[in-house]
Amino acid sequence: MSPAVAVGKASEIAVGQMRIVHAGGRRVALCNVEGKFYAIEDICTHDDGPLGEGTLRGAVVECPRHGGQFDVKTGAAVRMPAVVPVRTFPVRVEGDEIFIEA
Amino acid sequence: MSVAASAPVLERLRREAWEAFRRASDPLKTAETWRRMDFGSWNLGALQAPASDGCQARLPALEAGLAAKGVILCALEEAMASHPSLVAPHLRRGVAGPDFAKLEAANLAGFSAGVFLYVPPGVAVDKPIELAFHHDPGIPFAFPRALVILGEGSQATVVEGHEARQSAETAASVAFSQAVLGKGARLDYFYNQALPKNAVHFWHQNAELEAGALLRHYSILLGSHLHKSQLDVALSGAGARSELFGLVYGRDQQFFDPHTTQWHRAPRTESDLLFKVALQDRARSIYTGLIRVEKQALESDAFQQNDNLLLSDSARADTTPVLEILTDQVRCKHGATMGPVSPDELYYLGSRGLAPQEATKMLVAGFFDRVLRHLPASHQERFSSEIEAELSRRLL
Amino acid sequence: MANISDIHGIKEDYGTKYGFHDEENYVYKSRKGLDRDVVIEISKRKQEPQWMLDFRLKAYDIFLSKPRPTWGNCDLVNAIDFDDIYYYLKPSKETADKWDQVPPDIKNTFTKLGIPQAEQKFLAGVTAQYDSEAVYHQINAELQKQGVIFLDMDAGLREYPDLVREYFGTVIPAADNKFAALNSAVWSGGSFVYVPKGAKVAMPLQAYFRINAQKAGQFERTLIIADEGSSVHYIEGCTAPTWSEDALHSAVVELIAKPSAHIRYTTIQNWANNVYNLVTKRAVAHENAFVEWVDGNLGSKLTMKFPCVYLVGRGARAEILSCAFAGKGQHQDTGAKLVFAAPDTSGTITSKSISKDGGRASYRGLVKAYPQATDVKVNVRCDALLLDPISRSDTYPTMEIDGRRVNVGHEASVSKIGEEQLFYLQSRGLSEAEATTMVVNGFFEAFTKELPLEYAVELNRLIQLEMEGAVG
Repeated sequence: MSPAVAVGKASEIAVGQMRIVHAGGRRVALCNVEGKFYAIEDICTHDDGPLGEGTLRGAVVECPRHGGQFDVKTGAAVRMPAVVPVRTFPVRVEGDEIFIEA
Repeated sequence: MSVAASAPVLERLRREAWEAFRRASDPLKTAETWRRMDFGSWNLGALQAPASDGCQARLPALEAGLAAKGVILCALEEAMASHPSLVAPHLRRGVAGPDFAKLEAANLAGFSAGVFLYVPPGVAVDKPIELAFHHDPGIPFAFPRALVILGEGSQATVVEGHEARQSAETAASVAFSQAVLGKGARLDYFYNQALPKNAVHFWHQNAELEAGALLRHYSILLGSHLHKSQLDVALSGAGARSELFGLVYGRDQQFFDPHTTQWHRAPRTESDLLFKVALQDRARSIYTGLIRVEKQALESDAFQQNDNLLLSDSARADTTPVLEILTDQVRCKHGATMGPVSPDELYYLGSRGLAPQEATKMLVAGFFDRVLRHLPASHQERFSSEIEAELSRRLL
Repeated sequence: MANISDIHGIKEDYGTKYGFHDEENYVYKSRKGLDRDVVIEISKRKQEPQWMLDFRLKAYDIFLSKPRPTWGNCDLVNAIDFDDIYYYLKPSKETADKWDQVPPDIKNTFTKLGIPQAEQKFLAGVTAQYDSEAVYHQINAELQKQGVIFLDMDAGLREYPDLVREYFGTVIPAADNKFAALNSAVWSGGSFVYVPKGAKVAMPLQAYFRINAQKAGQFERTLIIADEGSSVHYIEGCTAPTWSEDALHSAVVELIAKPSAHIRYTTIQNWANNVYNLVTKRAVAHENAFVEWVDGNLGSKLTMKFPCVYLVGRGARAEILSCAFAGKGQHQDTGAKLVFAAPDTSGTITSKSISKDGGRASYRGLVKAYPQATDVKVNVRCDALLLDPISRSDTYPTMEIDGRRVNVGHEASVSKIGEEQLFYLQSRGLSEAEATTMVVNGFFEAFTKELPLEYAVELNRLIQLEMEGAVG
């Protein structure tokens, strides 16, 4: 696990919003779920396309291409055609700064 | 045409190719050909002006007597000047399909170490001719190019090799190769890709067979980090036959993406294909093979077999064997298998006193054997021992 | 397998047997074309809950935003004019449970098609759908006592809203593809089946889908849930009149096989040659469940249908049997998909296709194993027969293996009809046409032997019809 890197300001990502950041050589989708932040890899495990272009409803992100869904808190695939969990990364917020370990 | 007069022809070809390269957009990520291999890995965006070609071709001296029979082996640029009527019809854009148009244009604009081999009608060249391309890793791009023309009833064996010294720098190569077989010609062709593990390599070969011609083709793919290739064989004359063999052995994070096409365009054509892929570590392979039989290719036979051996839990293999058959007078079959080393066989060999790695090595050698034993005697030993050495290095 | 003698002497063609049509006499017919208001109108007329209307409207937006497929027969797919279709045609006021209550002309149609007779003989339940809605529905009383639910989908939503809401669209989300989105927006009819824990439905349930109107769209939606340890066999049949203008059939079928459940889903489709048949069918198989798709495709102008099984529980199994007959002006783009996402899973795909009179049959398949799919066995076998030099056969299989200890075998062959076989049969006194039909029936035997006898006979008749005029 790589050390935590600063990837953005909490104040810039509204509740229910996602933002794509780069960390540890990966594309990571930062998700604001009711004020708490979660980080998942920006890859739909169904077809390897980006997830960040999808929609976040509560803690569930829906892939725009085929409608697969993931729980961003756990990474679990919650609706087909997604059946494989997406990677998650630990998130820490200090002040306004968001750090992730990717 | 004199040497001086041909230079402008080549210059114009290069200029037009460069313009085409600049105009061409990158292939779509959704195009099946580039869906799983990132076109961006070739970093062609960095090509701002016709680049210097980091490729050198080493040509052997022709045996005495062959030149007298009319055999030509020389730089392609030189041949363009000295034998324009032989070369010009083949040295052009549009040989490769639209998915490769941009790469083809880059190669035509930039190649400086092209190779030309011509064997006149009726002449048989006994000894293999080595076309050795050395890529200089210090130069970002290499553009190897080869044109091999066999006249009616002629015979030759050609080894096209790609090598480079180890280096920290990553170089990309974009190679185009063409083989033209006249009526009844017979060509044994080896494509030996042994580039260093950080190389990014693309190779395209188009082979056109006239009536009764026979192509036996061997791809030995061991090198590079990323490998993408497209081997298109057009059986354009009645009774033409091709036999394509491939051997891929990937380790670490090597990624191989070989495509083949067996294109039956004339009656009574035959094709056979066997591609063997073994992968260990996190290596990955995507084999895609198309057999297309056109309406007019009556009474044709086409076969294709792709076997994949997964030596580790993290290795990943895809295979897509495609058939497009447009007439009923055919026999056509393909098969694909995928799986790990058989635990039963490992157990058996273990019970005979072999250590697991030794047993695995033996099973991999056995897996490749069906390709290796098709190699002509002249090359069997060489490639067998190369594979053997590679197996020892990798598995032990 | 039915005997060859069963298929002799039947000389009707599709036109007289299936191609007839009734005068249009609808209770409600939506105006031509599709917009938001049509979607709202369908939902309103069905008195649906708000969530279903929301689901439809979201799907409608997805339908608009998704491109048509860029693979397969793009020319034909691009020729579909979505504005020239009637999306909702309600044939009768309510669904009858006795044939006598079905409007006479419609009842007459189904009688001609043989549905009431079949019901009496060997079915546990029947739904007959005429354009957009079911006109007849009946289920065996014994099954009802066991708690088996078999309803048309509209009634299912009315009577079991919570159950439907829990599963509807979970296997095939609207966003899956453009046609799944279209179906999700305008769906009507189809079947809703729930088999409770441990219940075994011994006799098949059947739905029969009939398109009658010109330029009609039929968008049935089927959801089958087999609870733990239960089993069910569902059969669907489809026909349409031979109109001069194209009709569109775009169904979505979702199957859920809970642990140790067994679902067999059989389709015998015999559309008229002007029907676009673009269907999404997907099953999910949980632990030790077993799912079978038996899929027979005759007729239609273009069929694109690739029944799929996701094996998500340890020990799940799947078998897909696909058979296609492509005649003049037809493209049968069919196949199968197996997606392995759990250990100790296995599956087989068997595909048989015949092309004749310039028809084109394509097998398109996917075998995919994700990393958690360990110790998997898959076998794929595709055979194609070409009956003349102007027809075409394609095989487009993809295998993507990222699993551990996954064994995949794939074999495909394309050939013409064996002259030795024909010669032998002719030497035994059969005409060339009879001999050819017999060889074709034999080629499809793997398929017909999986059918209840009555259907096997019917299929052989259909093949006989397709084969007429094949020789001489």
